[in-house]
Amino acid sequence: MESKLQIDKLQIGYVSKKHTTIVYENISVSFTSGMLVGIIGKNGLGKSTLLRTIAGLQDKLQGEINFDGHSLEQLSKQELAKMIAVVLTEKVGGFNLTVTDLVSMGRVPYTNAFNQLKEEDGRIIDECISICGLNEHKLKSVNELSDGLFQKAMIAKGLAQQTTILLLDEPTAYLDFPSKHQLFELLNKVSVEEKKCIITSSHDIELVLKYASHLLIMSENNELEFIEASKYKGSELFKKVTNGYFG
Amino acid sequence: MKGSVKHIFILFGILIIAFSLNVILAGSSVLKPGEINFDDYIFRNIRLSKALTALLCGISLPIAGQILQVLFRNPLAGPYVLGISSASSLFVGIAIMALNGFGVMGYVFFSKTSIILAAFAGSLFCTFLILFVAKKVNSNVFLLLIGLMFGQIFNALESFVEYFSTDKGLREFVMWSFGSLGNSSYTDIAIFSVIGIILIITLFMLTKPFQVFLMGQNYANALGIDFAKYRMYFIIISSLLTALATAFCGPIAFVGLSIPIMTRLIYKTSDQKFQLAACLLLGGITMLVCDTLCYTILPDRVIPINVITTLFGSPFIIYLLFKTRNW
Repeated sequence: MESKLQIDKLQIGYVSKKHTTIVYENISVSFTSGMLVGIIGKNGLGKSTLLRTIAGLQDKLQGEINFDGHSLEQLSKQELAKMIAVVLTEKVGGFNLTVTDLVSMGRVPYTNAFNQLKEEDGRIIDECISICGLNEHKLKSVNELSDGLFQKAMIAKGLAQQTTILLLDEPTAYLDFPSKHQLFELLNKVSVEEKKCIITSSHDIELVLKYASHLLIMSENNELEFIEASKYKGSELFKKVTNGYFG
Repeated sequence: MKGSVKHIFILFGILIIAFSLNVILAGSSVLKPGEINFDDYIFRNIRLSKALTALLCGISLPIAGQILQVLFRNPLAGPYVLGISSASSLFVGIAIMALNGFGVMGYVFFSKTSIILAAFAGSLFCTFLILFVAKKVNSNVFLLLIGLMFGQIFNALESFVEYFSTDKGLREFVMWSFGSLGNSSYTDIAIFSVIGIILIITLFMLTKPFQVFLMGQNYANALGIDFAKYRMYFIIISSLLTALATAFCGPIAFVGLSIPIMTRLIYKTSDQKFQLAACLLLGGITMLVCDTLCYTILPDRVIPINVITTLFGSPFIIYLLFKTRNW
């Protein structure tokens, strides 16, 4: 089953009482399941704003976001939570939260009013923990995890949400090099094997080139290009954004 | 899950023992077996009513504290933060000083009722201020800081009122601010327990969003939980519980902040249903034991409840914190 996330002439930014700040505009692109998309571009261009807008965490200014023909703003928060999972840059932890507790949060959109986990939920949670290689860390407190393991736990939570789309905001930011590799390997595996559409922003361009299937390139002049990752050499914008470093 | 049911039963057992011991020991003399019946004046109108008040107070404050700590994802939060207790104090201060200043007739009756009403009004006033601000701001830390500032303002105003008060008014206010469990009639207790129970049942119906609040605002929203809406509910529940306890017992220190920390350190679970239940039981136990200590430590002398809760509770928290580094 092929799912499609269609973005049309999207304008993103912030609204306050006095003025509207447009961060980026005229974004038209469509993503399908099985893609691993790397969003690249300098800090402050609006990569996070774009991800947050798609996730419904902030309002778009103009344009359309459609998922399999449903306009996203027509969906309730809970319906949206069954379609899109996010991994943000903020830390979660404390209050005795263990890895299993964290991953269980992914089942929240599906549980009853008392958040009771059924057998099926337990099975899904275990499976997501094992896909992300966290079996040994299941009962560890989230506060004790290294940055790399924490990101994996957050991805496991996202998987437990059983959405078609997984959005990640710079998941490799604080990781050491081997962990960055592992993380992208995991994302690649999940996008291929679980047929998910994964969209992640990242500054680790060499890793994005190695593992991602597609690139969404953003620039200061509001230029936008969506290409297959293997064809990066033909892109002028890619050359410009990376200062020609990759040839 | 089975383990947690066992813990709850154990706590419940201890609570009953603490309650009985409190009724028997916490007073001017130890009750004899013959005096433990409902016809006995001291048993009914002094011991039992005081024990019930201690229980209610010990239940409501830690729940209020746990709500605030989860809401702000910060173990430093408690009913004192957000300025709610301070606002109550200020209003009570104004009420006491004003009544003294005007020399109102029927003073004894008026003072009791007016203190309760004033404490309630203060709490609600501050709660509405906080809710008003909460609508405008997104960040929890920002809200916490504003709450602290409100608290500072109320404290300053309180000093101002104290400075201009009569000796008698000041004395009465200071006595109130020590906290007291012994001033409740059965009407008070009925009001306290009915509102308290409704609030706590409501909270238990909302344990799912409460659990998800551990993830913070963005993740809660992304998991389909309307953060802004439930934040409103939780602030209201927590403020009303604080208002009730402060109105009937004065500003009781320590339990609201510390019992939630204690239950987290002891039981090491993130399950909020269990945490809330444990807070409620352990809070009740703590207040009953502290009240018993107030009466039994020194012969013929009663120590103010706030002195005991703070002096015995704080070292225990420090010990737990050192023992469990990973909280």
